[in-house]
Amino acid sequence: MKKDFLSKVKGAILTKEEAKTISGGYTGPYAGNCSFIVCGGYGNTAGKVATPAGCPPSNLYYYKPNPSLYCVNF
Amino acid sequence: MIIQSFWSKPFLSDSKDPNSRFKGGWLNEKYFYFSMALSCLKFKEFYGEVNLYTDSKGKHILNKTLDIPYSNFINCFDKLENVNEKLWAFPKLHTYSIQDSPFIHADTDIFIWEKFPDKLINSPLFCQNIEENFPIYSEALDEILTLFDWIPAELINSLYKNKKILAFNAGIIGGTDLEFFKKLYSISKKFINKNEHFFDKIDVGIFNMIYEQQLGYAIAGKKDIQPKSLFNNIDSNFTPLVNFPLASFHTKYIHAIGFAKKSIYACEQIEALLMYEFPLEYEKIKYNGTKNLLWKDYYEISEERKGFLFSIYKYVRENPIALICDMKFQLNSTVKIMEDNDSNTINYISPQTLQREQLSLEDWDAILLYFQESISINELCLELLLDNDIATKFTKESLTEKLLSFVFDKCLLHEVLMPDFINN
Repeated sequence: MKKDFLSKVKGAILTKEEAKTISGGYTGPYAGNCSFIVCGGYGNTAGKVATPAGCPPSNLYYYKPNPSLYCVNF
Repeated sequence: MIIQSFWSKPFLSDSKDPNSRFKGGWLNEKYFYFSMALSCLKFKEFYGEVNLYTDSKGKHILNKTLDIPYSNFINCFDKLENVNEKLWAFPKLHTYSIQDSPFIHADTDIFIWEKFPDKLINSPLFCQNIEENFPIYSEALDEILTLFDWIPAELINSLYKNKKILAFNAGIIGGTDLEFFKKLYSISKKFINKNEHFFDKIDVGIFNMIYEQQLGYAIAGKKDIQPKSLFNNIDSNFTPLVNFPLASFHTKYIHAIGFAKKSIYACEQIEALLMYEFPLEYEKIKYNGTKNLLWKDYYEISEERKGFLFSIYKYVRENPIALICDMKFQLNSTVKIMEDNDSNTINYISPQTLQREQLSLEDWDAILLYFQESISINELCLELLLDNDIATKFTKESLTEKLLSFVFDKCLLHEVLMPDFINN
C-alpha cells in the first residue's frame, strides 16, 4: 500500500515546493507578475480581497489552495 | 535599542483604497493591536527596551487606551499631519533620520524568538533581506520613470549599473551609519515633494516600497555600502518568514508581511501566541480594546481550540527538535478519506469555522495518506529516502525540514494531523 502512496507523492516531492497555507499554496493565475503574499490570490486585483462567486458580500474568504471553496462566516 | 513606528493617520482614515494594503491591511483591527503587542513584548524579552515613535492619536490609543507596554512613547509624527496619508513609509524614514545612536528598527508585524547576530547589528547598514527583481516593483517603477518630473540620480545609477531591480526589505533595518539614514530621508522627501501631483496616476502603495527600499539600496550602493541582511535567498513569497507553524522552536523570526495579514491562520496564530506567551498582557489589551470599542466582533478562539494550540506550543518549547521529529502523528479521527477513481480527497472539520472542509490530496498533500497510521517525521523521512530519486535530491536533513513544515502546517493550522501525545 505504501508503494501506492509513493507513486502519488514522488512527483510533487521531486518537482514542487510544498504548498504552505499562509504563504500561498494558491498556484492559480495572477493578474500580472506578482507573488501571492505581496499581491494576494484570487483575482489579484491591486490588493483587494476579492469575493469568489457564491460568497455573500459580507463574508470574507481566507486563503487556501483553492480560494473559491471558502466563504467564512464570523 | 529597538525602535518601532506607528503613524495613526492612514490607520484611522478608514480608507478602502487598495494602495493602503500594506499599512494596516489586517483582517480585523484587533489583529493589528495584538500584532503590535506581541512584537513589542517579544523584542522587549530579548532587548529590554522598545521605544515607539508615534503621534498624539497613536499614543492615546496604544498607551492610554490599550496600555501596550512600550518603554517610551515618542511623539514626532504630529508634525507630519500634512503628509499624504498614502505615504505610510515616510514616517519610518523620519524615525530613522532622527536617531543619534546606532539602532534597530523593526516593523510591528515582526516577532522574534532569539536576538539578532552582533555582526549584523554592528554593521553600517543592515536589513531583513535583499530583494532582487521582486515582481512588485517593475510596473510601478515603469510608471514613475515615465511620468515623474524628478528621479533621484542614485536610483537611475543603480538600475543602469546593476541591470536589475535591487532593494532591501526594511522589515528590520538599522545600523551604525546614521548619515545614510539622514540622506535617505532627505532624498525621499524631495522625491515625494517634486512628484506629488502625479500620485493619482501611480500605485502610491508600491511607491512607498520604491523610495524606502529600492532608493535606500541605491543610496547605499552609491556610498559603497553593501547592506548586510539577516536572511539570504528569500523568495518573493517570503516563504521562510511567514512559517507560523514552526515559530519558536525552528523558526525564530516571523514577519506577517503583505497578505499574511489577511490570513485567518496567521491572525489566529498571532492572537494565540500572545495569549500563550503573555497571558496577562493579552487579557488586559483585549479587555481595554473591547471596552473602548476599538474593534468589531470577530473570530474568537474557542476554549477547545486554545487547549489544543497551547498543548502544541508547550510541547515544542519543552522538547528538542530531534525528539519532535520522533513524535508520531496520525490523521485526526474526524478526518474521512474519500477515494474517487484515481484521486483522493479528505474531508475534515476546520478548527476555525467548525465546518467540514475538503482538501484534495494532490501534490504534497498526498503525503497525508502515510498518516493513516501513526508515523513520525523521522520514520516517514527514512521511508521516502528509500526511493533513489528522492535520495538523490534530498539529504535526510533537508527532507526532514520539509516534512516538519508540512506536518506542523497540517497539525497546528488545520488539526488534520494529531500528535500521539494528544490522541493518547
